[in-house]
Amino acid sequence: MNILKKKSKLFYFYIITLVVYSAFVLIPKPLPATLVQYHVSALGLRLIYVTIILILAGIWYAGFYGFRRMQTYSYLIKGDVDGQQLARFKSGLLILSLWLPITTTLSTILNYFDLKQPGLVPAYTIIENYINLIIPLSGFSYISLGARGLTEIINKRPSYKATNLMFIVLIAASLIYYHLVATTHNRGEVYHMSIWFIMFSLALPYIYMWSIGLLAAYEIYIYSSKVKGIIYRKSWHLLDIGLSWLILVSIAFQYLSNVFYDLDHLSIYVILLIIYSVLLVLAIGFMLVALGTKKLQKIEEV
Amino acid sequence: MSNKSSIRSGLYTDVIKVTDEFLGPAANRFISRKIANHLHKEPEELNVRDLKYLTNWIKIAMTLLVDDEKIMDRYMDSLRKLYKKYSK
Repeated sequence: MNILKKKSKLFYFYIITLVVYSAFVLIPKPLPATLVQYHVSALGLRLIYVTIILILAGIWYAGFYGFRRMQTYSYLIKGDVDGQQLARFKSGLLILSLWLPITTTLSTILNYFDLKQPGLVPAYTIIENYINLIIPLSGFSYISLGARGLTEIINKRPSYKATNLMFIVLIAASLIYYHLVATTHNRGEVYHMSIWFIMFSLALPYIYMWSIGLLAAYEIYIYSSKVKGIIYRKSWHLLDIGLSWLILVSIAFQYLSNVFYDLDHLSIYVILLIIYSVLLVLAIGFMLVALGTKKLQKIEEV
Repeated sequence: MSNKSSIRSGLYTDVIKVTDEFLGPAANRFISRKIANHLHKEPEELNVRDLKYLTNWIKIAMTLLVDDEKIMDRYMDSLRKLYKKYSK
C-alpha cells in the first residue's frame, strides 16, 4: 500500500510543511542568548534541530499512515452502518494527523516573526493558542460522533458507575487545570488575555474536548468488547487500543503543554527528551490504529 | 415472491445469521463477496446446491483470519447443520 501517494494532496502537504518547518528552523541565525543558555555552538544547535526535524518527519508520517489505513478500510465498508462511523473516525484521524504539522510549523513561523516584530507577539500568541485548540477539538468531535454511532449499533450505553467515575476524574483534572492556569505567575505573557476570557474561550473548550475524548474512548471500548462476532471483535481490539491511546495521549499532551509551558530553566537535552518521548508516544497511537485497521481490513479482503 | 425464492432468501439469511456470530457487522459483506466472487450470483439467488461449494470457499478465507481451530470447527459445524436443514 502506497501510504503517501505521490502527487496526492497529503503528499504535497507533508513535503511543504516539512520544507517550510526546516527552513524556518535552520536558516535563521541562532540567537546568542539561546547558545549561551543551552551551552552549545551555532553548528551544534543546528545539528540538534536536524535530529528534531528527522524525528518530526517520522512522527508526522506515522500520523498520515494511520489515517491512510483508516481511509482505505472505511472506503471498503462505506455503505454499511459501521462504515459510516469509521468514516467519522477517518475524518477525526485526518484532523489529528494534520494537527502536529500545522501547529509545529505555524509556531516556528510565528516565533521567527516574533523576533522581527515584537509588537505583534500578543497577536501571534493568541493565534497559536486558538489554533492549538481548534484543530484537535474538531478531530475529537468527529471521533466522538463515530464512537457514539458505534454504541448505537450495538444498542449499549456507558454504565452508570463508569460515567460517574469519569465525571469525578474530569472534575478533578479541570480543577487542577483551572488552578494552574489562574495562578501562573506569567499568565499575561502566556495568554495575553484576561482571566475570564482565558476561562471561557480556552479552558472551557479544552475541558469539553477532554470530556468528549474520554467518553469516546470508553464508548469505543464498549463497542469492541460487546459487538457481535468473535473474529470481528478480536480484530477490533487493537483498533480500540490504538484509538483510545491516541485520545488519552492527546489529552495528556494538551494538558501538559498547557500547564508546563515554561521549560526554559531545563537543559536542552532534558527538553528534547521530554519532547521526543511525548511525540513518540503519540506516534505509537497512530501506528496502533494502523495495525488495528489492517487487521479489520483483512476481513474485508479475504 | 414464490415459495422457492423465499426458501432461497431464507437460506441466505440463515448463512448470515450463522456468520454473524463470528464476523458480526462484517458478516453480510463477507458472505455477499464470497457469493459474488465464487458463485457469480446475487446473494438472493443462493440455493442449497451452492452451499457446499460456498462452505469450502468460506473455509479457505477463514484460515487466513483465524488461528483458533475451535472457532473454525464451530463455524463449519454450523454451516453443515444448515446444509442438512435445507437438504431435507
